[in-house]
Amino acid sequence: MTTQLPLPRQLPRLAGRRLFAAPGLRSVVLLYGTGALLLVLAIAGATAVGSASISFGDTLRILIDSLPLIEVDQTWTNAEATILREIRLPRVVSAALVGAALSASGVLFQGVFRNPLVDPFIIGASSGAAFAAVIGFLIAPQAGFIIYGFSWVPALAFVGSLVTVLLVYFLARADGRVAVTTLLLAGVAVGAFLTAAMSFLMLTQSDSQFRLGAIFSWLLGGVGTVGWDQFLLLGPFVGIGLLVARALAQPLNAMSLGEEHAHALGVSVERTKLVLIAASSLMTAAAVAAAGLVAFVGLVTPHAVRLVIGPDHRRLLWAATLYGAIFVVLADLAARTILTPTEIPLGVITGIVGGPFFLLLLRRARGHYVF
Amino acid sequence: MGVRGYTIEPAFGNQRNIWLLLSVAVLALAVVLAACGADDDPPAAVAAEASQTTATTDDRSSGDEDEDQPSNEVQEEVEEQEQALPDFPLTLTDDSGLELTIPAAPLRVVAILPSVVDLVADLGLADRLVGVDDFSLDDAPNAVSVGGNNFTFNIEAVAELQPDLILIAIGGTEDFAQQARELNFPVYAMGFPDSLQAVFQQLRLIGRMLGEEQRGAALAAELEDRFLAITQRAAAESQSLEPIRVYLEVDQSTPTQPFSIGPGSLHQEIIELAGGVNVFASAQGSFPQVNWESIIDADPQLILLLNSKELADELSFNPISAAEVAQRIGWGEISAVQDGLVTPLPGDLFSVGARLVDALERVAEAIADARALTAQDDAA
Repeated sequence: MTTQLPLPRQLPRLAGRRLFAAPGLRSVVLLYGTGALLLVLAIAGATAVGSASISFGDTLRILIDSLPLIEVDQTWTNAEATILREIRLPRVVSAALVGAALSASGVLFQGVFRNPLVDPFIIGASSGAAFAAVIGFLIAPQAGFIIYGFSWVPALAFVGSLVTVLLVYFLARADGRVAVTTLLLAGVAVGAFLTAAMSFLMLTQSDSQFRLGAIFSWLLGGVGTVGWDQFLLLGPFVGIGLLVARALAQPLNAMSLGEEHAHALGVSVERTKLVLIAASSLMTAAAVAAAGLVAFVGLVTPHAVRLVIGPDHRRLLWAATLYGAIFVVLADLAARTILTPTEIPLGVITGIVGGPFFLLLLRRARGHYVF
Repeated sequence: MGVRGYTIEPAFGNQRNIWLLLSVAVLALAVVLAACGADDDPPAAVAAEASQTTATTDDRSSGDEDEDQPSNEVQEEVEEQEQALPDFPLTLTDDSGLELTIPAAPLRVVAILPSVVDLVADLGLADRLVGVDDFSLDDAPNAVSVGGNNFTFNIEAVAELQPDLILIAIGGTEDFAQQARELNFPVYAMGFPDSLQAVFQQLRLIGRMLGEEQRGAALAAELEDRFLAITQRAAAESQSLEPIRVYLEVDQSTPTQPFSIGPGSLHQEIIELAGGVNVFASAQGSFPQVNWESIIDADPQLILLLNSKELADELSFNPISAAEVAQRIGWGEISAVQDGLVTPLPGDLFSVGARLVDALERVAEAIADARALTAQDDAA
């Protein structure tokens, strides 16, 4: 039974940290440098545009004035400064956080499951969050519960997302092992159950079209952050998740060859899987709390980046983080400006723009896409 | 649209009447088309008016061809009352263009959706309602529920009630209306009124359908008087004064992206009639979801809260107080907050019915307060 599976011929030893050829310094600088520059430009550009028309010069002056120890002569109104500092900038930065978190956990989920169709929501993160959020919208007590900038909905969504993933994980666990297929199927089953329960709640408990409208736009995603509290609370989850993920990028590379191979290479497969799922679920829950269910970002950004730079998770993780952040910053910009002052759900934009863009990349790869 | 009804009535055999009917039909069509051209979606007022004209023509052998002018409406009512012709059977064309005949003054009425039930209750005829939707049970003492909570209605429950008239608000109820028609119940599908005038028309129409024509006309006339008193004063003021910028918050289920009001809502019409201007008059949709940035940028002089803690009732959910609104991040920059003009209003104030005139009065008062403060600020 335990026939030794043939190892690919050029497989380098993991101990030598050379599973994949190390990227050249120049290409690394180019990749990350360009990404970082684009992200800064996207954030600056998105901060300068909004339903309130504030000139680009004033935007820059207000931002510079906000830095410690620098005073700029005031050429703007107080309302403009408030809009920039307390409303627009926190929102743009939160959009970046959401994009980074979803793309990074998309990379991790796809890696762990070795399945290109997987996204961060696959094992119940979205259905659990949605169910809990609908409870927040419809049933949570009257008191205006606000803690660290969180009202019921984001707080419950965060908890619901994590609890559901945990539940699915332990449902799929047998004999100290979690088979990815079982995990996927358990995730789908729990998701179906929770989605049905959520629909039932929405149909029976809602007495107002506005509450339903609010639920639908939450389900389609949208960065609703105002002020810095939410960002400051959720940022660390994403930061820690990213660092943990980076530390395990090389074992994840090994796992992409199959769990048996990874085991043979000395990777503690089950523990790696658990830690990676925990890290990416934390990031996903943070993204869901900040922006609801933003579809597509966690599925497509990893693929798009992989098409360009290949499957090495060490590079893939950071690149997906950067470009996912750029994608969502720009999508959120479109969501709040196209029909201003009416908000378009973010998921509508990510789907409409992301889908065709990804197909374009796929066509250009001409079937040479290595997952 | 409402033209189908004209050709079916066989009572008028001779040539002259056929020509008369035809010309009235063409005239009614012209009115409807003109209204469609002026406004993208045909207002329910016109539809109601057109159907009234139809019925009038059916009842009488001689028609006054100038009846489509609004100024003649009152006169028309008087003329109808003077006629000794029996009111029933009454043949009408409803707002969905379908014909119905009400054989006698209905005593067992099923009304579906609050925008219709409230009108019946305003006329003091709620005791004739034997079945209503889940949301309207409080307004109809004798009625049982026929569904509605999950956007479906129970045709069996309706059949069991054996109503002699079913009034339905158009909007997600089309399938149910069709089921009821197939069971040969008279069904009047009523468009959602998009103006106060349309509400007054619907009051008249429901009064007529229930055999209480004078009651409907009297209530509508009384409301119109109050309506004119306010709107004329506001119109006079607007000759010399800028309109007050008003932000109305309907719901804050998502606190940072509240629902406000936009074009096509009765709320916006009332604000404008009262001498204000809706800061989101150019938004998409009747109830746009907006963000704080655009609210602060629009700098409203008056903020109206429909879901307030101050006036919360058992239907309120997660209401917010004026003080909490003032403390929102960045809202301290808004003129209305600085002037203390964050005004709670009852949540059901803008629901269709006679209450809309109350809404107009309340909004006009709030705008008058805002004007007084603005004048003070200017003087100082």
